[in-house]
Amino acid sequence: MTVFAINPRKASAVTPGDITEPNTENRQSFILHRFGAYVFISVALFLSLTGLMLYPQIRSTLDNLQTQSDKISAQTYASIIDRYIEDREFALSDIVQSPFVINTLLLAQGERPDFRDYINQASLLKEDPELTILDINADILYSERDDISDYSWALDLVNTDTQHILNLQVDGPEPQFELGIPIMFGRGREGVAIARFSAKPDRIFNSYNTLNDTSGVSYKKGSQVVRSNLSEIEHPHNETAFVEKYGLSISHITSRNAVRSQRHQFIFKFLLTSLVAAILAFTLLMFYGRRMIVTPYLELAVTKDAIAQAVEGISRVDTEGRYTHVNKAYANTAGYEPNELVGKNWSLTVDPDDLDMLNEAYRDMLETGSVTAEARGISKSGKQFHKQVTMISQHDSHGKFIGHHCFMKDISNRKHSELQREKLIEKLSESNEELERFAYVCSHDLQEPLRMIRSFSEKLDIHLKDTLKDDVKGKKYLNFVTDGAQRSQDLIRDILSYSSINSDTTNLEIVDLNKLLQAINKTLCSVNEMDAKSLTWGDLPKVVGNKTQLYQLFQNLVNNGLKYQNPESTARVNISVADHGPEWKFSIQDNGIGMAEKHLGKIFDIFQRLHRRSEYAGTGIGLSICKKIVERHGGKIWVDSQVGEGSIFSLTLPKPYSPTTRNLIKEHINVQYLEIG
Amino acid sequence: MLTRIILAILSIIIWPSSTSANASDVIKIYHDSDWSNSEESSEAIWRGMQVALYEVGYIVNGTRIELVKKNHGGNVTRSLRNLKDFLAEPDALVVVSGKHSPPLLTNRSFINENRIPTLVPWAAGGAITRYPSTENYVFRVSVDDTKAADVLVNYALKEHACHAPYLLLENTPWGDSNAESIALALDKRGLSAAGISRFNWNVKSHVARKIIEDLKREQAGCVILVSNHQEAALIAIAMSQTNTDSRIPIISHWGLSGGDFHEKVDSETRDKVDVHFIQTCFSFLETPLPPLPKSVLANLQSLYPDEIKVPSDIKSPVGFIHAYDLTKIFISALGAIDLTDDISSNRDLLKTSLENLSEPIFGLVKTYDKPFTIFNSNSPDAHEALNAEDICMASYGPNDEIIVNWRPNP
Repeated sequence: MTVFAINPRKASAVTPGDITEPNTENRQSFILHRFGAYVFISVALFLSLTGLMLYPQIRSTLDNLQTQSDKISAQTYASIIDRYIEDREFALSDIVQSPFVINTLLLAQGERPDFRDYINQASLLKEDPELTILDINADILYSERDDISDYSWALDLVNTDTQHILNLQVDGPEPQFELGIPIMFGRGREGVAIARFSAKPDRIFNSYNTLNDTSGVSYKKGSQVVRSNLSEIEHPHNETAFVEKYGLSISHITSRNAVRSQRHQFIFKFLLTSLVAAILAFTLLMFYGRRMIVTPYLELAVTKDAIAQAVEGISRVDTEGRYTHVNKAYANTAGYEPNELVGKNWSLTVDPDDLDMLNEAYRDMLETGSVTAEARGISKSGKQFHKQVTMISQHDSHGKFIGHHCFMKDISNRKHSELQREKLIEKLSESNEELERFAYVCSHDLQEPLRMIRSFSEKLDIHLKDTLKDDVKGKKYLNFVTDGAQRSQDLIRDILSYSSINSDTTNLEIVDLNKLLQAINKTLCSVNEMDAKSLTWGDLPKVVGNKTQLYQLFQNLVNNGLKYQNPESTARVNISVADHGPEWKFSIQDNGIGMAEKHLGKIFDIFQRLHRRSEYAGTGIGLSICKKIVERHGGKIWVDSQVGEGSIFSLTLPKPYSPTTRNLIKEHINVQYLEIG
Repeated sequence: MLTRIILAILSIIIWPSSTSANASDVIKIYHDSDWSNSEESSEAIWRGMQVALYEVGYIVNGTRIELVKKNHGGNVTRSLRNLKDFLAEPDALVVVSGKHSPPLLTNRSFINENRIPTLVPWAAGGAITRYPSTENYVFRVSVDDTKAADVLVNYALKEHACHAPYLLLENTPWGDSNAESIALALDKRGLSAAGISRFNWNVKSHVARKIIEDLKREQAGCVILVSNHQEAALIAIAMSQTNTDSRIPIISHWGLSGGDFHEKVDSETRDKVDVHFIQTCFSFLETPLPPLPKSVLANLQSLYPDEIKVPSDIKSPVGFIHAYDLTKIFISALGAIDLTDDISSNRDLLKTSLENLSEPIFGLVKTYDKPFTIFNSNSPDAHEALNAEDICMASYGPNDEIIVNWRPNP
């Protein structure tokens, strides 16, 4: 056996046991490694390109997110400050609505020492702001501040509809909000209440846990600015201003370092996630790619290699009859290289004398899908060779014919052998026929002189009857002549009969074995009526065969059973039949002398005798004739016997309509086949 | 002849300018009142002045008189601002104040130092007219606390046998003034107050209820109340809401009648609590109405035909009555002087004229023979036109009309 490696570039014949398997593994490993490399490069390239494309977007998104975050933070801060101030405005509103303040204001009694006590007692303030009460001229009526400030700005609260004014004071030790609201009484504004309270960011926002190490807030009113105490906000990343109802411009500040750190963290996480995704994608692609791509590819490659290196020629032909793929064996069979045939018409490799036949076969293929034909091919060198081609049509998914595959086998050697065998068989047949003719002629021609010898020896016996009355020796010699002639005649008759079996089985008919045995019984038992011999049989079937030969078969077997008896025994032969499926089994059982087991194998050979002729007459051909008849009828014959226990000759004959019988009938032209009723 | 004609023409041309150089055609009366919170009383004063001026055709001595509304809203500072506006106004001759003593008490020095003639129709603070100087420019036709306290205590004793009144005083200079005068009136009778509570303007109802609870604990026989109508209404309602046995009469100063007390404390509530308050003794509800009041009422009705149909339509009547009388006094005083082109001088002339009126002036409360004299320490009532006998007690009738129903000297 020749095995080829998978790699076409290493297409060399190696013997079994060589490194064929490692080569396959190497190739698989090579493909896997290459596939893995492709997948890795693809994933890496994809991620790299994606990263390159996405990075500006990501950066922009991060910036937007930061801006959004800053806005939200600024809004949060604004909300917190609003609420912080609003809470105090509510408290201040409670104060200015108190009768005491109204009274004080209306009566300009700001100097009253119990003012603050009254406010505290009223529990109107949540904390301890510095209060100032102004009259309608913005003159101070009551103040808890030592410094004398200019409150002319508060006149708007008296003379206009302004609801509140918030100032930011950063001059003192701690920044302060200065919130003024009008004091309403009756239908008018009768003064202004001003509260000063802390504007220190830590105080405002600490309770909200808003400020942290990386972000801060600044708010300004006019030129006054307050910023949370954070050194990093000296380099703010972003500032988003909001002007809320108190007119504060509020900014959220995120330190640039913090943003950069967050961005780096994000990018690190992004890269880490991408790496994990890449590993996962690589693993999945490798796993499924191996199953879905590499393995089928390998199998395809192996198949392709196998096809390329196949002993049988394989080609693919398009609808125009041109080769599209040709394997080496196919091309080499015709003496070409594969590339020399690709594009050529397939008729190039066909003997012009067989072209019509193959075109016919091609049309059959178009109808049936496949066809096998033998034809003569023409090689590149013009040498003729025999080939067997199998054409299998190919269709696309829509059923459209797209070409065919042609499997070609060089059968030149087989054809040569077949021709040799046919010639030999022909010679043997001629020889056999000549031999049979010779035997027939011999036996037939020998009968005549024997018949003359016997006839004239009988005449001589009659003639010399008196002469040899006392001549015992002469009578003995004459008997030898007569007996010899008789035996020679019997022998020739049996040989003639044996040799004529082949030709006689050509006449088949339905034979009723019951009638056949009645005739045999009449013949054999009537002759030996005085011996009280008996032949019995059950209901026997009808069989298809040569009636004469079947008669001879059963007669020989019955005769044997009757003949090989102890002298004192009464010979009995019984014939029974059993149904063995497609054939009948007949058993011819006698009560004769039986045979030793060692003789059972050779009693059907010609001229084999177990007894001396003096004990039991015979030519030794009878059972050989039986065997030949049975076999010519498609059956088998055998014997079971024990010495002194009799013998059972068994034979099978096919039933009518059985395959064997049908074949038997087919083999013979002269069938006298009657319908079995 | 020609010369006479030329002189005549020149005199015609020159005369108006010389006249205008000596005196303005118009003088203005500033009415600085609480139009925000005591509009009813302010309106009553305004109408009183209108009717009085209407009677003279708004012209006195050939000078047209205009009224200017100023609103101090009960705020002393705004009142001061209004006074400054007055000073800056070359035609402004006199100020007629409104309800509330505090603006006058607080700004008394400013008024007098700047020589602003000020006529007071509705402010009872005792010190208002008692600026310790002859340069006292404040004149009053109204109840004076120094006299009102006697009336209140007297009424409490006579009508309710209330020997230990509980004093409820607003926490203002006016309240301070009354605290002093009522204590004096009680002390004069050998009595003392059962207790005293002070409250601020704009007091809330829960504070009023607490005050009532406090005075119930003191077993007071009556309440002497000094407040304006807003707080008085809360006190009266709180009193009406306490159980019947605990209710005691409320004897109030007249600040109660300066606004919508009768609306906040409806007649059903008023039936539950006895509320009397000071009024001057004249009432348009008198029958038969004397000729002058009848004429005044007719003029009032002609000026305000939609609002005034019957005498009970006059709300815060003391404001109208005092303003009418005071304006008549002013007209009389103005008629007695020759105005110059110097408004300051005119103001001084007016002050002097008021202190030297010799002709009787027929007012609604009474006939003023010599309403004012020069103020000095020996004549503390020199700028008071009314006396104690002019002060009565009144209450709201079922139709929210003010009925004067108690007189000190029947």
